[in-house]
Amino acid sequence: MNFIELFEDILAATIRGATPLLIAALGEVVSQRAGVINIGIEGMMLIGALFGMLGSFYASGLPFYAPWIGLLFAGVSGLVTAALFAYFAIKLRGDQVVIGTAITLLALGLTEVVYRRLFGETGSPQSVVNFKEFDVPVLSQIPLLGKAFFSHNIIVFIAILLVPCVYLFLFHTQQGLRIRACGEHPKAISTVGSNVSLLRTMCLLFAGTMAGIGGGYLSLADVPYFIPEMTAGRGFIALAIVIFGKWHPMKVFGAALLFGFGFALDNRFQASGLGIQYQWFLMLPFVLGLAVLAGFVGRAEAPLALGKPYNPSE
Amino acid sequence: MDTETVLELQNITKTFGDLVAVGNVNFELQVGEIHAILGENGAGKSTLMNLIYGLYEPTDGSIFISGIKKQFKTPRDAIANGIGMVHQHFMLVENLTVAENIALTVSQFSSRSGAIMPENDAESQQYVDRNIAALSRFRYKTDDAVQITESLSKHYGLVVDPNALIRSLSVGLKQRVEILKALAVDARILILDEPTAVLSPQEVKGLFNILRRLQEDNRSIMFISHKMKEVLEISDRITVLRLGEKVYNGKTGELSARGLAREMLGEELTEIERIENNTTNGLVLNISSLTVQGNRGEMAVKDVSLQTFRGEIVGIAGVDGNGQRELAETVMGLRPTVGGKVEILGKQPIGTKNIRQCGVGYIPEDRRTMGIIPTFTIAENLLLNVPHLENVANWGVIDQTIKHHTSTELIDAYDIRPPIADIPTATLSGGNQQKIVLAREISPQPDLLIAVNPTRGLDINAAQYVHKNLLAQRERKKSVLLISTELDEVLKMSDRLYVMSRGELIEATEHRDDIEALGLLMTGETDTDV
Amino acid sequence: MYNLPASYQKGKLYYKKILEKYPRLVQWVVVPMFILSGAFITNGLIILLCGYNPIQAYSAALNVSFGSITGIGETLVKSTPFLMTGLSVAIAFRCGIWNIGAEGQFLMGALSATWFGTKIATLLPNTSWIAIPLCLTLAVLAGGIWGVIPAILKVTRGVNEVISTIMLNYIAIHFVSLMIDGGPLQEASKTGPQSDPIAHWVSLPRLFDSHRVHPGIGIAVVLAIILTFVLFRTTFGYQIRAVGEGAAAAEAAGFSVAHNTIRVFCLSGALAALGGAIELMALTPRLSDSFSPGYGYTAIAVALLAKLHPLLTIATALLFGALSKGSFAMEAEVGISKQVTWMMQAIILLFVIGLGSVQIFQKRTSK
Repeated sequence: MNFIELFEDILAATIRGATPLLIAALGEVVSQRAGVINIGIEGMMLIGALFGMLGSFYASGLPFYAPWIGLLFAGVSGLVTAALFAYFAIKLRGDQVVIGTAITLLALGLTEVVYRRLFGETGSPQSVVNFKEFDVPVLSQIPLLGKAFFSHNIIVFIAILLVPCVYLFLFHTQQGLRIRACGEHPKAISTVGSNVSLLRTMCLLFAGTMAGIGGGYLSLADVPYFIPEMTAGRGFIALAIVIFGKWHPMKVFGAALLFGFGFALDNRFQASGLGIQYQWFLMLPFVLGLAVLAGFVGRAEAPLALGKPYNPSE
Repeated sequence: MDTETVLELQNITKTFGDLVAVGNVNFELQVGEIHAILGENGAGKSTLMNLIYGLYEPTDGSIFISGIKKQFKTPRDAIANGIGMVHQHFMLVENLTVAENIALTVSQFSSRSGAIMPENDAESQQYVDRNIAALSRFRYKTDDAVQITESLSKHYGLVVDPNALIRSLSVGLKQRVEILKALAVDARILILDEPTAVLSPQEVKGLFNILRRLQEDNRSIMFISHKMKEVLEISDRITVLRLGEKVYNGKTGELSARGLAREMLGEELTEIERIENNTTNGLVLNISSLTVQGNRGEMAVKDVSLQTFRGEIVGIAGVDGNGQRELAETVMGLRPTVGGKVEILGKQPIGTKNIRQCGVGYIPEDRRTMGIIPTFTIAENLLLNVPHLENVANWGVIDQTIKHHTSTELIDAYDIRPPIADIPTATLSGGNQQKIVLAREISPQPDLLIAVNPTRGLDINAAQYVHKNLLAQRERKKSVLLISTELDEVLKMSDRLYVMSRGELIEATEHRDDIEALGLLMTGETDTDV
Repeated sequence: MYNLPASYQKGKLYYKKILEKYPRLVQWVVVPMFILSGAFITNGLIILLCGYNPIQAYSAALNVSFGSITGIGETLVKSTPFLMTGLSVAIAFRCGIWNIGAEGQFLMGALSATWFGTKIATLLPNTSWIAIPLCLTLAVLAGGIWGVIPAILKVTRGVNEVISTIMLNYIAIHFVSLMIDGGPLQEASKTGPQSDPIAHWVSLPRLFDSHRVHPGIGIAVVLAIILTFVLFRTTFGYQIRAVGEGAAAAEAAGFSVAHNTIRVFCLSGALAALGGAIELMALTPRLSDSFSPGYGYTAIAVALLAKLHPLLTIATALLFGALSKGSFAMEAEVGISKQVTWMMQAIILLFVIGLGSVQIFQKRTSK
């Protein structure tokens, strides 16, 4: 493998590795902007990964539609999980950190129980129809960058397209303005007639759907199968990305690429056989995450009401 | 005067559990009237306003707007019926601009805002209509919001920069934005909850001018206050509430200030006696050229020097947010200094723990977050400072007998009610919570006592109790530094008087009889554009 | 302390009557029982939906956990790591520190004990009286250091401890794997991802021949009692609670929030690490990839269900020990994945939140 190939390879892997993180983090940006910190994102991704694979599995009769049906399953399962979160966090005003932890534990148990029930303890995981990579005509022929940027599965492109969409929504619509205000001073928008609980629930449902889809990417595009605990902490990395990206979709995109690079290095060097123990690379994204949080962000300005349950009668 | 009734309350009652917050109140508001609601803290004023604004639903009784019976389930219903509210704690999003805050309101009520310019100002009317139509669509355009804000502020003469972040505005300007917010949706009835509490005398004047202009515009205003003087100055009618019930209603001027006070309290108030003393000697606190950074990196305290002596109360007046909080926190070691030094009894202790052990007591401004821990019991809160805790402990183990003994003694001496040591403090009234702070901070008779807004949110009797204790410290030849936004309080209590404005400290003892001059000092001379 | 949310209004009057008459009974017995039975029923319904027989599953679990002396002994053994990590979480949460990192701290304790037991102990005289205390001390140090990292990041750089401790958990998991799978602590034969067994004079002795009950259980219970005393009867404990329930007031009183954060994080890490070392020294003589099934995460449920009270943590740890023991029986006899315990814990947590007991401690308000 020459240097150029390695460069292309790592760049492409960076983008692929960043995609699930980006999708989940974009959802999290919206919910945190509205004042809800969703630590259950890891669990929602895991559930999305399982149900995405199940959707594709049961629709395997329609090979063209199967991965899309899988993605739909992933999104809906994330949404349902988020609804559970919303009930406890918004209706009952429980502590969001504890609820998030509970959701993640629930997902860990549920996915394993369901998967074991359906597929038993077989040697190799059940594989399904997945999204295939394709070359964008013309563009993928650009030397050096073409292969890296324009030879991916469709979800990668959709994810990148979502970045400006979320940006425009948050900063150039009335609803986005309301969401930003909601995370800063919920009572202020409540006193001019907005429904804080409804707004927060909607944002949370969006975050859950996105987390589900991000998880679905893992079992429908990254690899064509589900294995228990396959998210391996990506949800928590997405949380770090949101902070590092200062709750701004564009910056979150940059942060996701940085962590995607971490995962890409991990895969490349594991395969390269340089004689370095592979665990170093597994550790890398998390060390990077800590370093980024400690060094570059410091006391980032989170939305003022982040994580605080809103009680309208206070 | 016009006698058309715009708002009527009939037998309005609101109970919380067993507590009757508002009981059977009847009330009428006329078109173009400024109607003051006077009452002590806890008299039910805020509850009444929240009922009108749809934040609470009444337990009983009904609300009529222009003779039609209405039910307000949320503020949305109230706003839609032309009610606007300027909250005591501003409902503004600090990290958004003025225009964005206005847009948040306008976009919710596009159907109403057509009537935004009631006068024959056809051109500007069209202009605003067009912009509002643009705003209320899905998209948010900064330019539209800015234009709406500009035309509104021009029309009502409420000058404010639409692109400024709220957090960069002074308190007076923030209040102006709150009023604009209400006017943006064409509020015919404007409720102002303790609007002067945070303003300097000049800003109060400016506010009154605005209110009179709105009155000329045939808008009705409910002015909630516990300050007699201001009520007498601005209002046309006065309603007095006491313990949730209406005890008086009449034209302004029918009753003297003294008479109104009697209605508010239900008894004559006995003024506390203040013995003059001139033997101030012994330097206690010596601050020299102190400079401190605020939370946002700005210089909150600039080159301040101050000395306090035994047997005196030194008062610092000023509008909230001019560096008083930072000054007090720095003296207590809660905030690092940028330059200068703080000496206490000739020593320079570092850290809150050491400062307290030097003999400093502290009544912080925010009682519920800094003064007490609401989930702790009374006995536990009475231990909440280093010297107290060390007194009851042997080798780090708290001696239960001494703890019990001290707490019962203090509960007795400071008349804390209910006198039960092991109930959570959250269940106590504000006055009794403040008594816990007083008991804890004053009972060791500290050489220096720093009190920041010690009577905020207390009723008159509780406030007097605080004042009595501060004076007692003075008589014991201790030193007291009183920082308060209530000018009257500082004037009444202090031997020497300072004013703090924009981080600077100005000696003002010679101006103590000249409110006008004090007001100018408090605003820093320049911000008098109304 | 327990504020029932609106959805429980119907039973409120009756509840209020009982609450007024027997407040402690309600607080410490009735509500926890309600939470547990609710969680068991909900979990049972999910199991049923998945196509298993919940009654069969539960009875299998009960039978194996409490059905015999050996079973009870084994439940005690299983409870010990839950108790240690539960205490670690309880003391941290009491101080307003959201330490989700007990898992990593537990592993670091076990790792240090492995290092000591395989590499250092052989250099020392072969006496338990020296080796065991040294090994435990080392684990305490390792956990303390691992706990101090997020504390320092929080105090100096303002890094949210929830996220930093989760990151540190993953780092610890991979670090352990690094050491025992290809690293210096892998077994001499280099066959599998596990360490050599620790020297037998570092192992904790068994108290009975018939089952694995070991002195570590006693250590954990004594620690729970000591922590209760510390928390409610000493100035240190008073400060911990003050910082946790009112950080600004504690600061104004002269208790440093930063110092207490570091101290308590250190203590919390040490407790979890001690748990890891005890587990290794008493039960599995080797460290392997599957050493912890997530004790550190379960600890959150253990501590919250115990309302962060160290003494009550003993009871909840026992419950989770029995669950954990029972899950193996459920897997063996009914075929449910033993990961079903995760689900059970999650549901218990959600019931705890539903009944509002988490609101008893406030998150610290940042200045």
